[in-house]
Amino acid sequence: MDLGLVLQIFLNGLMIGGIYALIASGFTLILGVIQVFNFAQGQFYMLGAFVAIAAVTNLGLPYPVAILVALLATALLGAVLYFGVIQWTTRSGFFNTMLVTVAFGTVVAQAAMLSFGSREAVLPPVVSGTISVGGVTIPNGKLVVIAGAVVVMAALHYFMKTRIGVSMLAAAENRDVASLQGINPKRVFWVTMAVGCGLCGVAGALVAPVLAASGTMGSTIFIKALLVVLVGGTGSMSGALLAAFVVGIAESFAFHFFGHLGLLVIFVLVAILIFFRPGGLLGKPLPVPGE
Amino acid sequence: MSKRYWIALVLALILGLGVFAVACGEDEPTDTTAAGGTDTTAAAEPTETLKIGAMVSLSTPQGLEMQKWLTMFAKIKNEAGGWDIGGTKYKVDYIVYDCGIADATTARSAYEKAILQDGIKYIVGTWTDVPGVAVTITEPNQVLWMGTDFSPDTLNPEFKYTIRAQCLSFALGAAYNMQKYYVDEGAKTSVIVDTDTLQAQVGNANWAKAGELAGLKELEPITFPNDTTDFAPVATKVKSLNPDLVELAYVSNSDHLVNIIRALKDVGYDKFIYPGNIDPRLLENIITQVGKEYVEGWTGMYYDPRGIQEDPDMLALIDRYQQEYGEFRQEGIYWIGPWFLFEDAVNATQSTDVDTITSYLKSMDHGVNTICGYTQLFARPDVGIMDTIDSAPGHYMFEVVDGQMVAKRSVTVQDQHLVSIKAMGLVEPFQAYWDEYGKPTFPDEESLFDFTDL
Repeated sequence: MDLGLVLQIFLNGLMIGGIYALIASGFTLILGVIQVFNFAQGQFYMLGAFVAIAAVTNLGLPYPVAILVALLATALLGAVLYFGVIQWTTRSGFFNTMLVTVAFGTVVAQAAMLSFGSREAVLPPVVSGTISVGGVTIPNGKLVVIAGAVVVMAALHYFMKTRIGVSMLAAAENRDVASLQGINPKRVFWVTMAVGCGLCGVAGALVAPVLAASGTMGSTIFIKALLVVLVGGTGSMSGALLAAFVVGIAESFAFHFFGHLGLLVIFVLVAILIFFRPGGLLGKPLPVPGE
Repeated sequence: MSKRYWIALVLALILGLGVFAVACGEDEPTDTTAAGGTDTTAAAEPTETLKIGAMVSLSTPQGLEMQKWLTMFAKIKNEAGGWDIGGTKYKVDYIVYDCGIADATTARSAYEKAILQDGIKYIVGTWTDVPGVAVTITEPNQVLWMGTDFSPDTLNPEFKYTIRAQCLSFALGAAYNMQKYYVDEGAKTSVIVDTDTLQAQVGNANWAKAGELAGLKELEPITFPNDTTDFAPVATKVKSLNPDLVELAYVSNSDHLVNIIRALKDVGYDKFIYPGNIDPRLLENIITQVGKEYVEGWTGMYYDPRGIQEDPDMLALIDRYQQEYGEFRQEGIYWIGPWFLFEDAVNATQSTDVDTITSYLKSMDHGVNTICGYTQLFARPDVGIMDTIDSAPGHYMFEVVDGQMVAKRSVTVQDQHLVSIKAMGLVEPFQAYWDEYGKPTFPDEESLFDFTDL
């Protein structure tokens, strides 16, 4: 096996990891701050892709503006999910809220199918061509995805240092004490929901020019995102980031050597990791509801 | 309990009652007279209802299109005053169930609802259901199943009510034709890329045999999980094998097709690609991603009968579709073939009895015209089934010329059947069958191949 092929497989994994990073970060943020297991997270990724495609093809907007539109649309829907559903169900407990997000995700997926149709949707490539270096081929479009993911993650990092970001971290640490410090939990929570869902929307918008969008893409990527959160550690943003690339690269190598059994290999490795580190790479074990 | 809980309970009860009322409510009577005029023929109202089921995934374009065609067929029958069977007029109720995408649990639920709750006695037309699950319900309940499958699950000599249409076991003639085309263009090696489902595994094995018959060296196939998002690893693996031809034989998800082809271009794969089941809209999306040049000269299966089909009855159905639904769509058109076999059987037997209809189908000696050409049932003596059970459907083929799919040729029922027998290495059992039962007669169509060595 030559070095060029190894590097190609590694780069493929990096590209996939970038997408996982965005989705897992959003999920981890919501889980860490509001302690909601948002099963609808993947659907925001799907919606982000379709909104971006619609913004470009139907409204004729430039692609960067379409990303912004996708971000705002999914963030708004995330806020609606919070105000319309989650703020009422959190009092009923962790599992009830989780179930409600399952229902919400199903509704969104079916609504998208009815609105956008059952066909795939594509966007013309924003940046075409590839860079070839020593036998390794890097599509320019995917470089844009990675760059976009890095920019968004950097923006998120700085956002978490703002007043509202610090408030989110404080509420995640201890909701009651944060409230005593004058932090409005309701405001923190809906902003968290909006940001978390918006991150997925941006991920969808970033991949729209390089991957065909479909109504089922949200469900399929969500499983991978859960895996990333598990590996990274629930509630750990840096863990999610690290795990996203670890999982992406592992998946890429596993596929090359084991074919369709690659995912099975990944799950076995994850099970071994969790056995020895229940909190994942950088996180802590998920608290048992009621504790 | 608090006030909030009582409100929630009441709302839930109201919702539940509403759902119950809708589910149990009677259908509005259907107006069976032609729109815009008085029915002067004074057709008698149907006295009975013939319920037919179809199992499709309504999340796929093929499933949605099949639903449109099949419900249109029922509407046509009802507008004529019902289907006259054995002197009784039947209102046709074609119920299309959503069986999910190759999901055994959802498929089982759909079959149980259709058969055990709704009393369906005929399943005519399937797309992405799980046939292995289907027959565990249809056979014990003596329900005729006419669906798409080529796995061993539905090939059991003990089965009495299972007919495979449109089957793809006898569809290797089209594969061979495509593979021969690329061999003539210089291809020597090929790799099949597909999802890792049972149907794909079986189909790919047969597909590879057709490739070998055509002169290709078939490398180890590459399969991927159905939930694959990024196909760069798949494309990298293809590139490392460096085949002359990539065959996306049974990839049914259109987004997968777009993504695989895009990934192949991204890794610099510049040889031949068989793009699988594509239609003009999908080709347009592929061209958006990879450009017109990349797809020029591709050949594959074609599903648009317009300009090819000459049968006036079939042309009338195409016109009717366009009147009903506007833009002509081809995604489901091939997979509604079972309806025409079923219709032929019911008309010939003038019976709604499942055993009578099934007996007729299991002794078919002629082809039946569908919108996409003839289809005909044949026996499977290689697995001990001497009744006609597996269909060999004729197929159109296209070539991409300047970014457009252009119909080029037709692979006939005879081509499909005989090439498949040869490719699968089944000449001996079939020859023995023909020696005993006589050679099959095929629809009168011009063959593309010479079968003197068969």
